[in-house]
Amino acid sequence: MTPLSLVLRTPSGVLLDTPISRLQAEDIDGWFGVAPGRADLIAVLPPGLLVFSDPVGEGFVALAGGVLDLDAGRCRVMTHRAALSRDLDSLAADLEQVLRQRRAKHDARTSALNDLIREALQRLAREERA
Amino acid sequence: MTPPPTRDPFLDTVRRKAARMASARRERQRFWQSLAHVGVLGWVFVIPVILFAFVGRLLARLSGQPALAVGLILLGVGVGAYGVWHQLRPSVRDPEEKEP
Repeated sequence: MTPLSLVLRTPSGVLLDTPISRLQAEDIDGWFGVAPGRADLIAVLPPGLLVFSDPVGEGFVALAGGVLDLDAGRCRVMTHRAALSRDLDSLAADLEQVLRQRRAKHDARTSALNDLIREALQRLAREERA
Repeated sequence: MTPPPTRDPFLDTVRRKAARMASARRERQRFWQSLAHVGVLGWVFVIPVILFAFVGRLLARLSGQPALAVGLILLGVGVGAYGVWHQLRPSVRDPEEKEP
C-alpha cells in the first residue's frame, strides 16, 4: 500500500512536508478522510480545518480555503493563508498570531514604500524648484 | 463562550469550527468514559452475587439446608448493591458538599 505524505503549500513557501498516516478535511459536502490506499482525488476546500496524524502526533491546520490534490499517496494542499498547530484548543490563537505578524509585515512594507514615494516626490519638487 | 466576531471572517470561521470540533471530541470521550463506567459497575454488582451464590450452594449442600444458599445469594445482592452505591457516590455527591 502506498504510504501517504502531506505537503502544505502557501505563497510564502512550504509550511509542511511530512509522512502521514491519515488526514481529515472538509469540502462543500462535509468531512472526508484520506487513508493509505485511497483512490486519487481533487477537492476544493472551504475556509476551515484540516486534521492529520504524522509521526509527531496529531496536527491541525487552519486554512483559508484551497485545493487538495491526492495523487499516488502524495497529498498536496495549496492555500493562500494557513496556520499549523499541534493543539486544537490553541489553533485559533496561533492563527491570530500568524495573521497579526502578516499584517505587521504588510504594514511595515507599506510604510517603507510610502516613505520612498514621499522622498521621491520631495526630491522631484526640490529639483523642479531648482 | 463564543468569542466576539473579529474583522477577519477567516479567523471567525476557524474559531467556530475548532470550537465545534473540540466540543464533539469531548462529547465522544465522555461517551466512552460513561460506557466504561457502566461496564465496571456491572462487574462490581455481578461478582459478589456469583461468589456468594457459589459459597451458599456449597454450604447448603454440606449442611443440607437450601435456605443457606438463598440467604447468601441475597447477601451477595446486598454486597453488590453496596459496591455499586460506593462506586457511584463520588459522582452523585452534592457539588456544594466540601471534602473533609
